[in-house]
Amino acid sequence: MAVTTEKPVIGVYVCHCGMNIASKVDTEAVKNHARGLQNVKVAEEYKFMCSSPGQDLIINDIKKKGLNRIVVASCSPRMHEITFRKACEAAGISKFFFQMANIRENSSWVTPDKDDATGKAKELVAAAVARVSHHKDLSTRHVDVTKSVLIIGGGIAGMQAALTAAEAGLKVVIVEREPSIGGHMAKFDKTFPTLDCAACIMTPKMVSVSQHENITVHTWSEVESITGFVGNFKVRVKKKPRYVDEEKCTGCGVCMEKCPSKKITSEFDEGLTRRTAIFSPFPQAVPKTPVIDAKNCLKLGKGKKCGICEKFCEADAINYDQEPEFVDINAGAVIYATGFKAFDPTPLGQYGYGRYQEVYTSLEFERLNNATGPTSGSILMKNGKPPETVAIVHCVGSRDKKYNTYCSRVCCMYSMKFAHLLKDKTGAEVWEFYIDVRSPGKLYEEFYNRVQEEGVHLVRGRVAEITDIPDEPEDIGKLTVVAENTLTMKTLRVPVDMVILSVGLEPADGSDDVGKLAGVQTDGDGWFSELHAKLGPVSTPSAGVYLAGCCQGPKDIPDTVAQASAAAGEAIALLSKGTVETRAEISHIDPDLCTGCKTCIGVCAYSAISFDESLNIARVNDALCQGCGSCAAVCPSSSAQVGHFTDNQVMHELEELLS
Amino acid sequence: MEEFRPKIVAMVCNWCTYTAADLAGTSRLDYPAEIRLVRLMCTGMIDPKYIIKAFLDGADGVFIGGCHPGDCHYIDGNIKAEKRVKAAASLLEQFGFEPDRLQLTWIGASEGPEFQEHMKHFTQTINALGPSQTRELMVL
Amino acid sequence: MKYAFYPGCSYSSAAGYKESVDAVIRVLGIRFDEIPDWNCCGATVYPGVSEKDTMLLGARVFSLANKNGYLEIITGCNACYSTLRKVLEKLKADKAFVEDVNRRLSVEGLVFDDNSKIRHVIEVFANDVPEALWTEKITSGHKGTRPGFNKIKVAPYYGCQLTRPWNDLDPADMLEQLIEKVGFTTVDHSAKTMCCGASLAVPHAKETRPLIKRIIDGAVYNKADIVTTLCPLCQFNLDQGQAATGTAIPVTYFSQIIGLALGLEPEELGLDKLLIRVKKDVLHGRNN
Repeated sequence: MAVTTEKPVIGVYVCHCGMNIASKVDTEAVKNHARGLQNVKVAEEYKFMCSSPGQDLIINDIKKKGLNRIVVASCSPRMHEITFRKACEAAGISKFFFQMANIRENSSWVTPDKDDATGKAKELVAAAVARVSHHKDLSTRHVDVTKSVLIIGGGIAGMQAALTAAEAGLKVVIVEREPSIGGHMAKFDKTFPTLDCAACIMTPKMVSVSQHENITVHTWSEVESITGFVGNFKVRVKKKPRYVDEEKCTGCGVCMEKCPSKKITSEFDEGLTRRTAIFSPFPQAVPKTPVIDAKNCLKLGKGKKCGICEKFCEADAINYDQEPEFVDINAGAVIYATGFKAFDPTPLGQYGYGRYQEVYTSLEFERLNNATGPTSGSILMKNGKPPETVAIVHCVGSRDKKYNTYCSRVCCMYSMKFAHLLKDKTGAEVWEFYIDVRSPGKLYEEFYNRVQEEGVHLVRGRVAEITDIPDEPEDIGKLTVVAENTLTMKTLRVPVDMVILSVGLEPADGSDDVGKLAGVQTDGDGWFSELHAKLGPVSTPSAGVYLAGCCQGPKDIPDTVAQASAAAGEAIALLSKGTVETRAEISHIDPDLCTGCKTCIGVCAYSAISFDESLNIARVNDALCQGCGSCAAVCPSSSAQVGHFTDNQVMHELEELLS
Repeated sequence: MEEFRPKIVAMVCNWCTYTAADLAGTSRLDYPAEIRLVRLMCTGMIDPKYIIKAFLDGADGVFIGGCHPGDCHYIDGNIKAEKRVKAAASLLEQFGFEPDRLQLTWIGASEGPEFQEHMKHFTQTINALGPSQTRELMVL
Repeated sequence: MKYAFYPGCSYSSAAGYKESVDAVIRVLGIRFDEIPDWNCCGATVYPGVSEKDTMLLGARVFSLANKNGYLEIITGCNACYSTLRKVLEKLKADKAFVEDVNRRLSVEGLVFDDNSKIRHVIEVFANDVPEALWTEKITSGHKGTRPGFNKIKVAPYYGCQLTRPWNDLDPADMLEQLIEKVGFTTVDHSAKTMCCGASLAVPHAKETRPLIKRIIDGAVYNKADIVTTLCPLCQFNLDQGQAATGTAIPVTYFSQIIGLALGLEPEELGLDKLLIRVKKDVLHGRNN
């Protein structure tokens, strides 16, 4: 569209929004006020401007009455600016010749007095009319995109997103900081409510991911930096040295058998067992290549003469001289799938975690159940015997003003899963202490009923303390759980052999720093902020950056998988056309006015401004500029102006508001 | 003498404070009608001359609302705004405007109730200060 | 180092608390300036009678300290700490309260500064005393010239009002760290932040007996030699309450065990005031 200097011919449309606006604002008065404003040719009111007939009203008036500027006085531009801009385009005028006056969120909904609300609405409309008279048409261009996706995190969310995107033909790179993909799900034994074996349903996905021609996996790696913009992200990945050559290693495991440094606490087994310095976290790890934990390695970390793994490695895969490797990747979209960490119950001294050896967190108990865990899947206490009575304490670190106020969503279900597994494997008597039982998913309520029928004692009441001081001599060596039963209104003191604390979920360590790399914000609890709680759960305000799984908020496996495919779907939609449109509302520096002072270059957070030495002026890169306006605000010659937010436009709006 | 109804302009950023204002709207949290919002993409977009123009045009109070430090959609536009607003404030003071007439506050996107509180509080402050001197001095 | 100190009503009659704190700060070279003309804080009882007047009582205490140039006050009693901190937080949250309280304080020419702060005395010992000073002054154990107390097991007892409703003691295991720093061994037990019954131990002795027993059980079961605490009412309840529990484990103030490590005599530390006395061999570190 050519830039026009024609006289503005403005149409103003005042929406009733049903009763939302009309109940407080006298829309007729606003309409009449608009009719008297300069350059306004048409002013109408209608019940629902965003509806088809409402939009048709605008379109017809533009075509038949020669309107070239439109003001709609209705809701927030964040709601419907796009809707009305489309209507303008459909009628043949530039979508930038449109301005909204927010007389709903900014007037009718927040102003109790009708006269005040109407007066304010009139002023907002007048300001919009004054502004729109100075709008200019803006142009965009299309930039090629890289048809690939970066996925940060290789748990079930990351893997699912990767498979969906890869199947659509996109190239996928997964960056995972642990030595293997699999995430937390690799630690579980059975999953609720179907009691599927976690490994059985996940390992096929792990294998698919590792073998898919479109997917590259970097484990024991971290993302160092992300620059660029939607469709054209430049990512630097740091691959930490494994000290084992991935190409040569056959995964035979002899190095782990022979390693003399055997006393290191195993992270994968939640501290319940020890591992060696050269290790692979679990038998089904993908890739199978072990890593050397340099800090605890006798040779690399303690300066001792060792080298046993190298000596025994038949594939000659050990390489003590490995350095970190940096890989640069281009990606069109980024999906965060950084997962969660379990709440550490140590501060809750009354539960005795860390003081009594038979108090476990839920993740520790998962390891006891898992066949690759410290007890090969049998539920055994540290004395080697199975427990005869077990207490499960719900909501540890969740629904708690002192720690996390939110509900972690999965703990009731996994607690009941534990109760079932205990009954199944040991026949133990099981007590569960809950606040509420939350079982909202498919077959979840049925699972709850089943657990009740299996004879689990479900007590509605919080646990006050867990103590080793017994009430009766025969309970010496046991733990006594002191709890309230709010339904019978009595205090219970139950001697048990083992206690499981159902700990809540928290954002993974370091996730907020990784999020900052692509401008992803966190909410008050540290989870990544989605674009819109209801209608944008997998997107973020940053174009081309998506979220999948628990990093956005605690959820179970079915929801994680659904969200991961959704995030991949969004990435596929974004990249499917092969190009993205640059923003229209970006900065432009008038080469005739620019004095070459370079002030703007220093303030640009996106390094989007460069200096043309030959002409001695600054120039904006239209693909990088995000339109923040920092350059325009500092420019001494006012040569830098942001399209659609020029000094001229803003100052006319201000002037009219204050007249 | 007519009751003093101050004219207050609030220049707020699209991503945080304007969103909070919308949230205050959907939550039906009312605040004084004297407040007029001007939507900008970022507080970093605010040229000091907008503030001066507002006061010269008869604003009794100017409120600037942006994202909390660390949360700016454009990384650090709000930090730049803070510096510029401080400079504008000292300039205004030299010309006899009370410094409390200009306020910069961080209001996050989810902070609907806080937005309402700040609007109420700022209106009270301006009410207490009375009409800005430009109204008396300007010959209309 | 000097501080504005709020003793509270039970401090001077507590079994050796004042004596031991005075002796310890003398050795460490710290000054506690008692707030002049301080009034009762209202403790846990008065807020139930009149919240508004409790605010005045608390604000007056802070304003008296403010007048002498102190923004922060320290106190050694959990109930005083809890009540005064609640008053402080209410005042900081609402300017209307501050206006009301200042209006009433103006009669005495006092003004409450809403930048005031409060800490418990143990925080001063745990966080403010430099490491080098401890090393210099502890005369027992491998750091010093006298036998150490590492064979003496101490059960820590925080009481409840220091740790609830706030969750911000930093470090969270402040008392245990202090006990170990001065050379004793701590025993962990799950009752260390449980309620002792507080002022209800007198009018409702029967109901509070199990609470007191629970805490003493924690110490006895874990074979502690002594209990150490940081609140006059807690110490009193656990000390006198053992007449009914049939146990005899001494309940000391943390300042008393610090004093022992610094080489001070039991009489200087008021240890002769405890109802249940600390045994001689414990006083000497049981090193023979």
